[in-house]
Amino acid sequence: MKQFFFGPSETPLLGTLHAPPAGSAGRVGVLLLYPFGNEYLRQLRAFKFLAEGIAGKGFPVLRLEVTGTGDAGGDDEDMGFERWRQDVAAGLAELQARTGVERFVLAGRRLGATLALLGAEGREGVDRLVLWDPILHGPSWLEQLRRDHEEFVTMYRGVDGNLVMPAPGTGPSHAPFEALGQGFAERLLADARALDLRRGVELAGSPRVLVLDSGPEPTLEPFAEALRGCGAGEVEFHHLPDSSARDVVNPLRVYVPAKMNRAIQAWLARDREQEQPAA
Amino acid sequence: MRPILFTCEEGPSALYGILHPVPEGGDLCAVIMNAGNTHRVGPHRLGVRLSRRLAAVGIPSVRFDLSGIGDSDTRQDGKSLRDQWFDQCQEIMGWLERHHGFRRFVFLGLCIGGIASFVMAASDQRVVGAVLLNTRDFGLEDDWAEFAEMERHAHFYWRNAAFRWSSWKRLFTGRSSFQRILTALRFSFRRRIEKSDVLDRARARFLEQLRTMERRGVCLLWLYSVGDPGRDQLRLLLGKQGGLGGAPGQIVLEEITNADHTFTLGATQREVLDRIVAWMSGFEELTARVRGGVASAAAGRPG
Repeated sequence: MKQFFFGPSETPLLGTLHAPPAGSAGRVGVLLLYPFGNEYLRQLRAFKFLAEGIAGKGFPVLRLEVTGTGDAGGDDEDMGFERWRQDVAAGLAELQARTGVERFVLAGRRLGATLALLGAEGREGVDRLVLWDPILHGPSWLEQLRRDHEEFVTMYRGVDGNLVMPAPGTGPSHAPFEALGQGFAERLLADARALDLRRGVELAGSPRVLVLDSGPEPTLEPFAEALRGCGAGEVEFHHLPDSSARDVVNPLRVYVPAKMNRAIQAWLARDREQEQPAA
Repeated sequence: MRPILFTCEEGPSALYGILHPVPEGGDLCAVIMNAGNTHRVGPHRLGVRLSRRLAAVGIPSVRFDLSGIGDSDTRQDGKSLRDQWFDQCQEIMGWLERHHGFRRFVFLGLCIGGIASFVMAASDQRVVGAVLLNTRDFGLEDDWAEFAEMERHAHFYWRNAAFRWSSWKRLFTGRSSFQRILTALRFSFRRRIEKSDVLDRARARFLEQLRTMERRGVCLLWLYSVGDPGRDQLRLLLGKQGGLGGAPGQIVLEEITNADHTFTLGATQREVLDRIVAWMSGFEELTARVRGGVASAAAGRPG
């Protein structure tokens, strides 16, 4: 495993590269995109395991921390969907430059899945997409975050006395919206309000798509269906409910969804067996 | 200056981390520990923001993942967690000295990271200060943690919940655990009639560590969210003595209102960062004064 900065000197991106065992590398590389905020913190370890598992199947894997997240450069005010779309493109270029892969898998969870989808829009060279609980409708996402934050504050007020809901504009960077410790500056908030991917995006090159839904009820099936009309090749939908995914109370509770990790590795390995290792 | 990603390979497995250097640093470096078992960026990216703020006032800092956390592999050497932390903190300090010339360290940690920071400050001469955020247990025996938790629950039910309508409502609507309440109350009764030496042992060990740090001139900043269990533990350990001791300014305890365990609200994140950066900015002056006083006292002169 190797970690490095790349991209703009002021706001560098952070990549963590997992190389496959010697002699097993194929022509396809995987770009992994994390969830956001508390979800990132709780699932980073799971992404390390996922990356190791996928690399073990012969794929070079790059875990990418985009602007304003993790140890990448930038802060709340630098975040926005257009910027992140450029970060994904830079991540793919870096993966190609470091490993020589010719084609890509874009994979992510929650906001990471959203960025994978946006990064694949109209792009040639993307063979496959793994969309794990993608956030498709920004206003619903913000509303859920607002409710989760309210629940968190209410819970704490009940146990320890004095937590009071903050006024708008008092976030980590005086952001106009904050939820569960994450500030949303103007640009990201505007982008999130305008986000609607429920009907999919135009995909080039007929990539195969795996849509994973870990919610208590399957809600992403219509989206998977919509992707079939957007240029996707084969679309697989799996509903694997996972109640531990959602914990709004304790950001220190790290969580590794082994069932989902295995499902993704198996799906990628199925096609990998038919590929020839790179010369 | 751009941070430096590094891999420390001084021990049986690699530790991954990031150093935030400064253009003209001395030999002092802040070491920011993992909060709980989460990645080095910290809850709400507090670790990243703290490193940047410290660099802006000329203090280099390092954040790394202990084995089994974040990017670092799990170390299976049969040692206890506490011994593993100790080994790995020493590996990091050794690596920082060899590669970057740092010889003195201030450890900073939230929750479990605070425990590791307290233990390091008490046991390694190179650690000259510590910032302990919502820290409890203090590396004491396991039975202390259980005792303190029961004491806290019992205190809560007797002194708070019994007089709150909302608590009774929770009880009668099945939203409180009867089992937990009964266990806490039973503990409270038994504590009144049976002599337990858990508190005495824990208090003796805790004060011994504190006095060791005091004699070495180690400076401590304790920050607690109001209502945090760690604050109650500290109160219990200090007992009637109450104060933390030390030279003026050497051991500081402050509380932050409207804050939860991980400082989730943006306003409290800013406040906790402001307080740490202010304390760290004056650290060299503080530590020189305290150590001067300690040396004078050792020589029998007024400080």
